[in-house]
Amino acid sequence: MFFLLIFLWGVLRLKNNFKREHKIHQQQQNFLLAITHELKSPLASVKLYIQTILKRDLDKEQQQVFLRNSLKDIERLDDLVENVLLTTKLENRSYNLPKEEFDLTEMVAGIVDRLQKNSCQSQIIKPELDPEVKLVADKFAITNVVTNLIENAIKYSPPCASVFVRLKKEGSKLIFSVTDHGIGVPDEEKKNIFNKFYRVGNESTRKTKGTGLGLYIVKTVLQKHNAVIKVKDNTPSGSIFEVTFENYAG
Amino acid sequence: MQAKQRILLVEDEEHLLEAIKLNLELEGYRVSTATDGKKALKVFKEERFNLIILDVMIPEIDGFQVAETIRLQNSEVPIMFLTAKNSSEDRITGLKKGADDYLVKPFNLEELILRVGNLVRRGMKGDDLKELNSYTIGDKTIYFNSYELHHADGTITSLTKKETMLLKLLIERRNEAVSREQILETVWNYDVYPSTRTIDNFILTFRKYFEPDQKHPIYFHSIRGVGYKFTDNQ
Repeated sequence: MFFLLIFLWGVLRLKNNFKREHKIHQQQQNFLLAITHELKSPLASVKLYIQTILKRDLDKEQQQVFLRNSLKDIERLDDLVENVLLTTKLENRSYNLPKEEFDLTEMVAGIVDRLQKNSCQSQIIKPELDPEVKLVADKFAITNVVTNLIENAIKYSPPCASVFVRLKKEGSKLIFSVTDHGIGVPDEEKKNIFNKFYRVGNESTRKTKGTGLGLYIVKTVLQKHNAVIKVKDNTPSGSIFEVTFENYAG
Repeated sequence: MQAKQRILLVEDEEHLLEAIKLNLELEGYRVSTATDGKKALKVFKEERFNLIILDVMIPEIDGFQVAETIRLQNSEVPIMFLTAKNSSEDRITGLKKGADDYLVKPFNLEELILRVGNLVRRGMKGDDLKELNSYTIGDKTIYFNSYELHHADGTITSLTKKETMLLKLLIERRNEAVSREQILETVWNYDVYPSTRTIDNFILTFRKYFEPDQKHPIYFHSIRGVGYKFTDNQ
């Protein structure tokens, strides 16, 4: 009887391990597909824009549009490479994030301004930021966190919907939140969205682009800063991503 | 003037879509676009194309499925996949789904233009082979090249160019409804926009020519809200 229980326990563990391995393999496959698409699409655009400018007799205005679009594609590629590099660094146990004191208010305002310009003309990213909030952290990594969260909010919102970005000191805590009125995150997905390579839906037909690295980086960077992130439902629709820096003393 | 060859371009990357469309238009094609699989199938249903260029990873319905659905309705229109997916498995899947060509991103502009030209020409050659020279309805025969209608008693009625074109279109698509938009595009080439009444008048004339009983037509039917249908089970 005892051996039978041990045997059953072993089979169950084996089955669970196999399931987990299969899931990881599936997510890695999805990541490869996603990254192939995310790398090749902007590359193809830039190549085609340049070949078009060289081959065609375009007026100056049209050339300017093509060059500006190419720059956006190059920035997209740069962001992607940065994300992959940062993921590699974060997974290296011996890597310590270099910390320095900087003005978080100024950084968030700058990112809001940049993303506002890139999005729809009437897109309203509404910042409500406490002034001169100083934080001791890895500036590059926190920039990535703030950018990822605001970009996600825009990506999953209807065109030109409002996105609220708040930075608030509350006693010993510092709270940074991004609120959108988009499609929201279903309850069953909430626990998964911070996992590496995790993306909702099938890679071939998903509506939004991405690699499944963004929120994983956000969570890992915040963990390394003793901060936590929560995702809550907004009303009537959308999500609130709320970051809390505990024992903030700035 | 010869009508422009029509291409349906399905691509969800805004910049790529814009640059490909511009290049194809500069090469003399008329280009319709769709940014997801669902829209692509809708546009394909509403218009006629000489070539479909399809991305694979697109929202709603992926490109492979779109190709498969198109092939169920139309086995002739050339399909070219334009995709980041580069494995031989993907290429084989694409070709199995009925694609005629497969180009991997990032691609060369010249190569794209040459391949598009080849596919469109190949599609046109197919049309030429099937060129309809004459067609018999009941005891009357239409000769499309001479714009004539030969009656059983040997008399000949001259047909106008537009009558001949509309007859040819309806006969080529016999037993299926042809929308007003398709008729306008093919026969009038959107140069002039005739009213629905104009097309109705053509249909009345055809009934006069061919129907044994004009009040109860067996060949030329109006389908309310859709267009017209020529029925013949010969």
